[in-house]
Amino acid sequence: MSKQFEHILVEYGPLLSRVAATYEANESLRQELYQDICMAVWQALQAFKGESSIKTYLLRVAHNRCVTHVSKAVNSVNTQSFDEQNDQASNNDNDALSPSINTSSNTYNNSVEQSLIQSMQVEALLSAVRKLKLPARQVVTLSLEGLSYQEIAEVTGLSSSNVGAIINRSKKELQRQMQNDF
Amino acid sequence: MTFDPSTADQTPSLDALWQQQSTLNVDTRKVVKMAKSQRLKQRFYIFLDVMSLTPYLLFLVWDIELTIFLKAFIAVNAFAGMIMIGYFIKLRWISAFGEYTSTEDYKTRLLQQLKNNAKIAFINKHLAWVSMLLAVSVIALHATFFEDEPFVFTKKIIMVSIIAPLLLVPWWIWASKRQARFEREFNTLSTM
Repeated sequence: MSKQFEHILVEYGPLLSRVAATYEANESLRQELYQDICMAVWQALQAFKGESSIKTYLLRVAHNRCVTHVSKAVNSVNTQSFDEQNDQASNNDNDALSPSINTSSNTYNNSVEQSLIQSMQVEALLSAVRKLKLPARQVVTLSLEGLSYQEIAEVTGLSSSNVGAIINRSKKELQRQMQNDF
Repeated sequence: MTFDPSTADQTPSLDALWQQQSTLNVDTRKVVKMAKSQRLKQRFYIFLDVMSLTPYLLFLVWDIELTIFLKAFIAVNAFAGMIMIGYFIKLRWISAFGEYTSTEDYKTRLLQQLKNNAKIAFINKHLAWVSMLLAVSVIALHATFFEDEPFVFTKKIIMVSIIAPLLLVPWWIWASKRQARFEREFNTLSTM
């Protein structure tokens, strides 16, 4: 069991970590949420009967744990909406990066600049994803993980046709928001 | 620095960008240890829930002389206790094994659960003053039917008036906070 769990975390750990990032902007809370997801996965593995693929099963468990996390987060003392938190984080990042970027031609080489741009793009994407409503957020991130419409429908409980419509609409929304952010 | 919309228009670039985010690491051994401890706790809580009914069973085992009022009071409490424990075990089961359904089903179930919990907290809150009223009524009825002496009746009323608020006011506050918490969680989840 422990060996199987270790193998699963090696293979699907990054995937589960990205699920946590979809719902939690705060880094330390994200780490806690990821740990919670891993514990839920450990418990869920005992009930896995192989009726679906292990990947969709794990994603179902992870997303459901995140839904609980978000509903309970409203009770925390330092309650700050995920969007606000993220907007603030993005602004801070931009503030911190701006002076460096202005002098980037002199100070940094191209690879550093590329990596900064990439990191900001990733942050902008995450920020845009977290602004989506739950079904859209879940569907679009599952699509970004390469799941088929059928697999997404299996995880979310939505119909395949509905999944297709949500993906198209949400990806356009993500692109629009990312363009606004930059 | 500007974001190039031409690259954003291509779906694969979003996919690639998504995969490029940094991911977290976790200590597998620590997770297994914590998960095992959590499972043990879940089982222990179920055991405690069931064990909380044993005082009522003792009344069946031991042949204790009780008035009809006390018998009725214990029977009603035992019945309500069994229903509550059935519900608590169901909640614990959902919390431990309910995450394997689709998110749509899970969310619906969670919303229903939060609604029920808020209702229970609301009932609990009002049970505080109802209990006080009930206690005074039982004492009054007992005094009427068994013709208690005025001194005994007054003594009982004074004792209830002192002890009950000490228990019932914190009970009211605790239940109110629980109700507000469940309502907040319900509202957050339903607008997600």
